[in-house]
Amino acid sequence: MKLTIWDLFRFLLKGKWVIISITIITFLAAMFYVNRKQTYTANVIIKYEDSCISRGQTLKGTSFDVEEIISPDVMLRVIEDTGLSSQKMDSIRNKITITPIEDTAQIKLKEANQKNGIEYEYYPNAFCVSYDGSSSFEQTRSILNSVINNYFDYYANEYLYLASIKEVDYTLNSKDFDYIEQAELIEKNVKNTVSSLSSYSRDSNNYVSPSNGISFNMLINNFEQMDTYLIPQIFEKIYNGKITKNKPLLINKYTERKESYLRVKDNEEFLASKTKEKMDAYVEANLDVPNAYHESGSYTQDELGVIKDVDESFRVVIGRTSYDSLFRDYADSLTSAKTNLILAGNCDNVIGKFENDTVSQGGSEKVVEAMIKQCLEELRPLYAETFDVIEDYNSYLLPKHVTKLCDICYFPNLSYKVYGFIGAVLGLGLSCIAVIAFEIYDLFKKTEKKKNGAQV
Amino acid sequence: MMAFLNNFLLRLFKLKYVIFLLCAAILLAGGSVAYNYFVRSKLITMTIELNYPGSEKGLNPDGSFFDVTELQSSELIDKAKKGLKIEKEDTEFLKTRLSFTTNVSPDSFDKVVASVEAGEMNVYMPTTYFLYYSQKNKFDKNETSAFINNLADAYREYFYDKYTLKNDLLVFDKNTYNFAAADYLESYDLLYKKTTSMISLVESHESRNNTFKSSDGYNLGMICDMLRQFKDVNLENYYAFITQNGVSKNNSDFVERVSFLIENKSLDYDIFNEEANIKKNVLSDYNGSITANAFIPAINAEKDYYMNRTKTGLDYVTDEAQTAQIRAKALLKEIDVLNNYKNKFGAHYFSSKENTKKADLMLDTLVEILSEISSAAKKTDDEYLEYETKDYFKFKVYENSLFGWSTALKTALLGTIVLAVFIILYDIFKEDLYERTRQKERMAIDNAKKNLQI
Repeated sequence: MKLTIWDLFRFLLKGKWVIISITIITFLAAMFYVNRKQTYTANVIIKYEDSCISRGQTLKGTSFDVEEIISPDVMLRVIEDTGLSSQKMDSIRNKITITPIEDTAQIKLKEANQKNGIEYEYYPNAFCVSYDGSSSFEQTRSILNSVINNYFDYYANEYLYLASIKEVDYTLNSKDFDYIEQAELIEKNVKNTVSSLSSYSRDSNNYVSPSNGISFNMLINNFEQMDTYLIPQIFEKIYNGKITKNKPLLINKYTERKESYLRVKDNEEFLASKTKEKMDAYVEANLDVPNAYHESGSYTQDELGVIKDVDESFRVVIGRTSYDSLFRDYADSLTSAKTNLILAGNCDNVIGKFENDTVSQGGSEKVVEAMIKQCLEELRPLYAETFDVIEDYNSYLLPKHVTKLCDICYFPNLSYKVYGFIGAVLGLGLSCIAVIAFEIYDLFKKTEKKKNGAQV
Repeated sequence: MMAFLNNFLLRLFKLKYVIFLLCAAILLAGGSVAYNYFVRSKLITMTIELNYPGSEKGLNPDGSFFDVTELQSSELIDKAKKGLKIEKEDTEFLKTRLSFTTNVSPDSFDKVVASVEAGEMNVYMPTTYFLYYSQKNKFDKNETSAFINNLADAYREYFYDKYTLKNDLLVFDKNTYNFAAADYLESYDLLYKKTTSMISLVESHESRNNTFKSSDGYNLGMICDMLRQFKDVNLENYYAFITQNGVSKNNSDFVERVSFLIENKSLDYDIFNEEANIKKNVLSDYNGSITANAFIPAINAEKDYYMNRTKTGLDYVTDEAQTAQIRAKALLKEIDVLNNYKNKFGAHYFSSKENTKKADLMLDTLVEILSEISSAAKKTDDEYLEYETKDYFKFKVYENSLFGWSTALKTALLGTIVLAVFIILYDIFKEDLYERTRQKERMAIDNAKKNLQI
């Protein structure tokens, strides 16, 4: 039995229907397989904007750990958001991969420095977060979206200095506080709020809340209006009418407060004198000794002590010499002693106002109570407005610290084209071989038959 | 070639094939129409194009993160389904019928990765999103379009409400202020602060677009001028009148309140002034020679580094002394103003009726003027904001036609051609098979004949 290449082609042509059918079947089978086994992977790139991350630290100075993206805190919120069962938490965590995206120039620099034995720290600040999801691209994307959104919230709450204020206790007038204490609590709260809002206003460059079109300055105006008119009126009524719920207790309290201020004053004065002694002793011990502060003889510029401890993000010198620290402590103690003396004097002043024997009148008490009530009522909507602005401001702050460089991109893990092609090629190849083998076998059998026939 | 085609056509033009093909074409067309009517017409696509500064970075106009999944929020879906038959459907279920895609291809993703690796920080955030919605019950009334349009409207409203600029501050409603209860100076303060805030807002809008003109012919610059005139002329006249004549609704209360403020501010002044004095005096206790050789990198006012040959302790304490002094000075100024009030308002036990009447009249006029300016300002600024934000969003809804006649025609045509090809192949195959069977039979007969001859 002799075969030529043309015979093979003849066989293929003969078995064309079989070949076509098998190729189509394997192609369809491949498609079916991809359809059954398809899963999606979603990716997102996040970048931290704070320079401290490049030094491996968070804004609070703790070490930065990007794996917090899959921390239980974040995962619990993801489970809540997506409505998945809590048993899936670990499964989601396992499917998330966080890969740092490193700046090649920095890597080379690091390697070069390490070769020269120089320590060089480089921490990447951009990361690719991938999630190997399920057969639904929507679910895959929404889970990664939830992970990122919840992580951003977590990061903001954990590491960012978000705006916040303390609301006044609206029920303080129903508690056992004396009138002056109520007024003081309200005044203190309003002053603290104004102070916080002023710092946010300075930092935010005239931020206006999109929810209600109110800026920090407008809120400050509203609180200051209260601090200039209604609150002083309350104090004025209390002082002039000597209105108190319990005069001896009030006087005792202010006397105690005064004595406390005086004790702090004495302590601070003592501390100041001791600090001064240390400063003098320090100078005496160091002046004639060559050291970092005082090098004897002539020195070249290379020998000058250079303090490198400068915080790049805040651009301030953090390093401070011991003598400088002592000096500042000394100045602060003296100031604190004086401040406490002034505050003690103020307590004396209040005691003086209440000490004479005039008895407060019931009518005046009612007026003060009404004024305090009015004040608290006016503060309630003001704080509600302030919280709205602060909430908007905090969501405006977050993208300044951490951003997405690319939105969530998802792609199938199995390609229809590749699998379809492989299926079709495999089907085509195998069916060709099968057809040729069958034909050769058939031919062989016929030849054998012929031979046998001839012999017979 | 022609003969080949002719052969093919001849094979087709057998009655049974023609009938079969005609039936198949009708069936395919009918199936396509039915599929279109029941399925495709109930699947809708909407594109959302963002077009505002910051959208290319994935931000909302207010600088917060843009999150397209807000479109799936229960609040918006509830609004969108209102008044439709699907109102009874569960909101959570409707959420699952909505899906999004974006145009972030793996290529764009790789480009961003490459840029980060190269030390650059390219950002690729899509500004076009695709939203798909498919109605569950295909045999029910088609409400896909109505639902998706309602959703677009609800989202637009939500987005503008939450993330775009507002100008509520320009509203001056005299009824919200209790001028009758406030003293004259307090009313002045209220009006002054309100006007200052209004000016600040209009100025910020003017700086973005100083050529905008409203339908009334006002531009933002004119509004600013009107407000400034009100503040510098009308309001100042009123202030001058009440302070120069010491006009108050209750002079003694006024003086007592001012006295309290003076006392309070004096306490703060004493604290800051003492701090400034102490820190100034303490500088002489610093022994400068101790730090002769310490060079410390520091920054100057321009935020440039310089080598500071210091004594940081001296720097800090001097700076603190100066800050305290500035605060003390500011407090002193406020105390001076308050003392001035105390002298002027305390000069009379009570204000004359004539003066209070005049102050009331002036205040009423001020309120009227500010109300007028406020309505003009609000209208102009509203138009400005509308103009600025009108293109923030573009929603395009792609609806599938109800019957899809052209698709039906195409399907029928394509199906018929494919079937025709199969029929021709079948016919060839059948003929071939027939021929081969005949040949085998002939061969069998020939063989039988040969055997018989043997």
